[in-house]
Order: sequence, then structure tokens, then C-alpha cells
Amino acid sequence: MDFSFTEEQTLLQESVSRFMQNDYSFDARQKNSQSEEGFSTANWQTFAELGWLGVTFSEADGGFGGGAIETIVMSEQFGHGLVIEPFLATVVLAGGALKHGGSEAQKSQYLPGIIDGSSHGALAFVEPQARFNLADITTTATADGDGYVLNGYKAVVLNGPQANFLVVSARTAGEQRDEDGISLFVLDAATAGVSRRDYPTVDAFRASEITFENVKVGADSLVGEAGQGLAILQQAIDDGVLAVGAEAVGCMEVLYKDTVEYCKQREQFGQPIGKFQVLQHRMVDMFMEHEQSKSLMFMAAMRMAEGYGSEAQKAVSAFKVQVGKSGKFVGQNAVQLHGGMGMTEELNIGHYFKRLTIIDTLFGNVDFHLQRYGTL
Amino acid sequence: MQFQLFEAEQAFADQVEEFIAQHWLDVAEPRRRLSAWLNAAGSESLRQQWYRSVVDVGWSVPHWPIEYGGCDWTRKQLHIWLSACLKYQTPAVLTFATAHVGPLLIEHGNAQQRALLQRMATFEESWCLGWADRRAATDSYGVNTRILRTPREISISGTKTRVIDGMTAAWMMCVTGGEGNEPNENRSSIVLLPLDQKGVKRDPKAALSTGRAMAEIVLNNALAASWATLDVPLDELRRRLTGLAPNDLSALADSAALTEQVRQLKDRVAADPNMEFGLLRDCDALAIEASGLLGMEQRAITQGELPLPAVRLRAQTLWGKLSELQIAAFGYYAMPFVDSALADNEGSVDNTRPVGEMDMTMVMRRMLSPAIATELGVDLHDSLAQEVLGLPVQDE
Repeated sequence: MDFSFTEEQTLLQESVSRFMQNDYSFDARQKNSQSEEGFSTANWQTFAELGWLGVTFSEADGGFGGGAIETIVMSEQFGHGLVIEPFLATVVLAGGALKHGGSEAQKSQYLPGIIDGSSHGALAFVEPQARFNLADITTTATADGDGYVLNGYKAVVLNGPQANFLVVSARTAGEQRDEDGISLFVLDAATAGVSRRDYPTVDAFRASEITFENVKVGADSLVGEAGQGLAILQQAIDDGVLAVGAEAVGCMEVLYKDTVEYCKQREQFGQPIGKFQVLQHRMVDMFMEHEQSKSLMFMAAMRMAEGYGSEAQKAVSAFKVQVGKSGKFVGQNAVQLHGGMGMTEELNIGHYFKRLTIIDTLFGNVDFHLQRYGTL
Repeated sequence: MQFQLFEAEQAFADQVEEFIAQHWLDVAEPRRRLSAWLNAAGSESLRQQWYRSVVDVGWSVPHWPIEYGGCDWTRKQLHIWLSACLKYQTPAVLTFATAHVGPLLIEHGNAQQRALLQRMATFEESWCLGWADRRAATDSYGVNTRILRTPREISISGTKTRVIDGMTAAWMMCVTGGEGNEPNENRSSIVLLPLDQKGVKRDPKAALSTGRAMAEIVLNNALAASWATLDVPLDELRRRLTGLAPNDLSALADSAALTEQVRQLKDRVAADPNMEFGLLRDCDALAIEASGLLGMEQRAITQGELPLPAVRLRAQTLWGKLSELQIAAFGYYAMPFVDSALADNEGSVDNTRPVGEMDMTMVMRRMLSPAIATELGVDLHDSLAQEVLGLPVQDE
């Protein structure tokens, strides 16, 4: 087992870290979250110029040939900055689905736009009744001549408002919860019959409810083989779990370190509250939760880098379980130790906590992944 | 980054597995091995057989410098060896002597003291720690044992209580107060005291858990050599015993054993139709945490990125959780108290588990083992708060 980064990975980490420290202030982040797009398009362009949007794509597709390790390297730093730019939705999820299952033509059409920052994507896979079951799909894709017709409804589509293209899961055969018969389609977000209802999420991102009503797509929209889309979707989602888990690790680090600094300075009864043993022990427990999560992050990333299979899936679920539990513990205690200040909008603490809370829900919560871990 | 061991490491791991299979797993049936692992009465011959094998192969004190019998191993090799010993529940290769006394003598001892190392490395002489005095806590002010120094020898008088392995140890690392009636403050000493002498009287003191009894040891002008004072501050000794020394890798090998025991427990829980479903999920949750501990161990070993007390604290926590789950899995059979020797003769009263599995007394014993750190007055939380997080020292 070797936990060391390559020189390139270290440079990437330093590059993202430097940007977060110098150019990604919390105040600017808050302001950008209120903009029309919900994030900074200038930041997004900078991400592209620095090469971050292409890191995880193969060199043949115009990227840098990175993978799971590079994903956690960047995402952990994004967690430090509480980044709201849609890296997860565009690069990891929509781009990931195309990376894993897309045809050469589809990759040529969509990936360059992701990598140069000119195009945004979204993965529309959630349905209201499905909870975290990726196979529970009522959206249908019916064969129609050379193509398909999509009908159905997708919920909480991350980055839906900004997406130029959508990757959509739909049933081409089988019953509602069958694992076979699921297909993925990539289509222009402005295709006739696609309608959206946009909204902000509690953690300052943007999402949409999307309705597909007699949406006609060509056969060339099919990602991978008809009826075999679940495996591609699952892999993209596991990439997503790894990314948001690493982001959570970054969030936790900020929270426990900020809390320690606060408790060194905040005085009560004539001495810093950080001198009280009961508070010290609580901060040590926060530190321990962060380190435990970080260790499982490395384990999951290494498993994913070795090849996607049941061991990798198990490691990813283990990581997500830990992140869910640790994130709640670290977040709650950070707010608690900051006292009333921790509850305010102006302080960053509560915003990290909100993000951690949502990350627990995203792609399956603690209970879901514990169940998955036990069955793998 | 890579998950798998490198080729050379894997070859070493295979060698270790083969050695343990040949010299431990294949030499006795499970219950006898468990008795020996627990240091229970009647298991001495099996323990000695194991120790002879370890000494013969040269792996008894791999963490010591080569000139004192150590191995030129990497930290990863040491982790592989210690992890395997814990996983297969061999008699401990890291005893109080080999884990604590030896390294202290190597680092701080004089020539006469270092001459004691050889018999430690061969497990011929065991050691105990004499710290707590009767009616005294384990802070440096509470030590009542007095010493009298002459040019030829040191005379020690007092009563050491709750001495683990005190009934069988050949030597004691004895914490003493000052001379005569002088105050203890800054006058504590550590003296290496041979116990087989007429000034030493040992009485067994029943421990809460099974295994060998602790001892109450009365020292009545017990004599140590004039060279026997170890020049180590008491606080440093306390730190080392709590696992805070930077080179102490003894705390970094728990994950493999934890993972194995969680797996066994889960198999048992899953096979029982009356077992509560939540227990199965708790087993999975603990397996995940054990996996995280493995990551923490590796990060501490290979990168020095994590402080050892963090890993040790985590391991202690997880052993406690495992014990809770095991007790829950025992159900009503958590209630009988069964002495190991009795079980050897008459069999376990619990007929729901195969012979050789953990029983309640074993679990209780392991649950209580971290208490030693508490008794010494060092909480790993305090150490981490102040040394890792940089928080201010608490008021006395």
C-alpha cells in the first residue's frame, strides 16, 4: 500500500490549493451564489485554463489522463473553498457518463466543450419515487423509427439550469425496478419537449426538475448499448461519490481547524475556552473523524484507480458511510463550539455544515451505503 | 498511490503467514491457542514453544537496533509481522519488556543495564512495572516507596500494588520516591529491581478479568545494584507507556486483527436466525471503521502524516466497539463467568459457539486493557489536543 502522490498529482494539489487560498474568498463565493448563473463564470473559465476541467479525461479525448486519485486531489481542495462551480455535475457526472460509455462521436461532440469550459452538462438520473435506487426508473424511451421518444420526469438535476446538454436515464425495456432495460441518452438541453423548473438548493447550488414530453432523439443519442445503461450510470455515480466524499473531507478539515483557532482566541472566565478539557476532547474527536474519513478516501480512490469492480464499489460505499457520519459530527460540533456565531449567515461555519448535510444525502446516505456495503 | 503491497512486501507477508501457520496455528487446537494468547494458567508450555520459534527465526525484537538482536526491517515489514501476530492471536511478541523496557535501556541505559537486554530478547526473563503504591494514585507525588542509596547498592522499601504480571516477572521497573523523608517532588527514580530475592514478597491480587492475577508486591529493603537507576524522567516514562513515543510502532498493528474478528462475528450473526438485524449492520459499520484504521496505520507508517496517538486512540475505540458487539451477540451467554482453566477441563457452558471462539471473559479482559493508560494518568485526547492541535495546556 502506497499513499504517496506522483509529482504531477502534487503539483495539481498545490495549484488548486493556491487558487482556493488566494482567489476564492468566502465573501466572493456568497456573492457569486446570488448571481444569475449561481456561480462565477470567470472562475469556471479559470478552471478550464488551468486544465482542471480536463484532468480526469483521457489524453485521446483531449484531457490529461487522470482518474480517481486526481479526482480526490482536486475535490478535497474544492471542499476547502466550498466551491459552487459545477465541477461535479459537468465534469464528474455528465462527463463521466460519456467517458465510461459514450461513443467516439459523442465524446468528440461533448467532451471538448467541457474541457475548455464552454459547455455545461447535467446527469438526469433521479426520479421522485426512487430514493437512491438507480434502477427505479419510470421515464421511458420508446423506439420510434431510427430513434427514440422520451417521456417522463427527472428530479433534482444538479446544474440543470446551466446545462447545455443532458445525459438522461430512461427505460427501454423491463419493469420499473429491473436492472436490465435501462438506457442512457445524451441530448441537447434545448431539444423540443424538454421543460425545466429551476431552483436553488440549500447548499447554494442550482438544480432543476425536468419534464420530458415526447422528446425525439436520434439513435446516435444512445450512450452505450440499449438496455445496458445501469452499469455506466453506476460507475459515474460512484465517481460522484468519490468526488463529493473528498469534498466533504476538505470541508471537515476547514471546520475542525477553524474551530480550534476560534477556541484559542475566544475567552470566557478570563481564559481561552480552548483551555477547557471537555472542549479540547471534543475538538480531538473532530480531528479524529476527519482523519478517519481521509484514510477511507485514500482507500476508496486507490481501489477505484486499480479498476472498477465490486471491491472498488465496496470501498466507495465504505467511504460514503464514514463521510456521512463524520460530516454530521464535525459539522454539528463546529457550530456548537462557535456558539451563536455558528448559526449566522455571515460566518462560513454554517455553510460548510449545510454542504456536509447535503453531501450525506447525495447519491445515497449512510443507511443506503451501509446496506450496499453489506451486500457487496 | 496503490492499494496492493509491493512485490517484496507481499513476499515477506507470505513468509510471515507461513511461519505463523507452521509454528502456531498448526501446533495446537483453537482453545489451547486462545488460552496461551490470554496467558492463562496451564498454557505456559505452548507459550514457550511459540517464543522459542520466534527467537530461533530471529524475529523476537525486530524493532530493536540490529546490534541488540533487532532486524533490519522497514516500518512496513514490522507492521506486517505485528499485524499478523495480532490477527492470529499468538502470544504477544511485544511484551512489557520488549516493547518498553528494552528500548528505554537501549536509549538511556548504561552498560550493565544493557546487559539485561539479551534475556529480554529471548523471552527468558519477563518484566513488570511497579508504579502504583498502595493507597496512592500514579502521579509522581503519590509514590510512597522510598529508597536508600549506598555506594554498593540501592535499598527499596514500599508496597507496589496492581502489578500486571507481577507474580511471574523476574524483574521490576520500579518507580520510587525520594530518599528518607524528603519530598517526592522531582525526586522520583526508576530502578531496575530483581524480584527473586528475600526482600520481595508477592501476593496475588485478583484482576477483574481472567488470565494471570496481578500482584501486590511488598518490598522490604529489597536490593538493587548501584548501577540500576535508569536516568529517564518520570513524565517520559509515562508518555512511552501510553504509546506516545515517536518510534513506538506497537500501536500500529490492530486493523488486521480487528477486521478478522469483525468478519468472524458477522458470519456468526448472519447465520443466527434470531439475531437482531441491527447487529448485522453494526458489524458492517465496524468493518468500515476497521478499514479506515488500516488507512490510518498506513499513513502513520509510510508518510509520518498521522501522529501515533491518533492511531492508538482510534484502535482503542474500535476494540471497545467490537467488544460491545460481541457482548450483544452473546445474548444470555454474556452472563456466565467461566474461568479459562475450568473451561479447558469441562468445556464451555455456552454450547452455541464452537470451542475456541471468544467467550465473555476474554472479551471483558480485552475491554479492560486500555484502562492501563487511564491509570497512568495520560489521556490520549489531552496529548492530541495539545501536541497536534496546539491547544493550551490545561490548568493543574
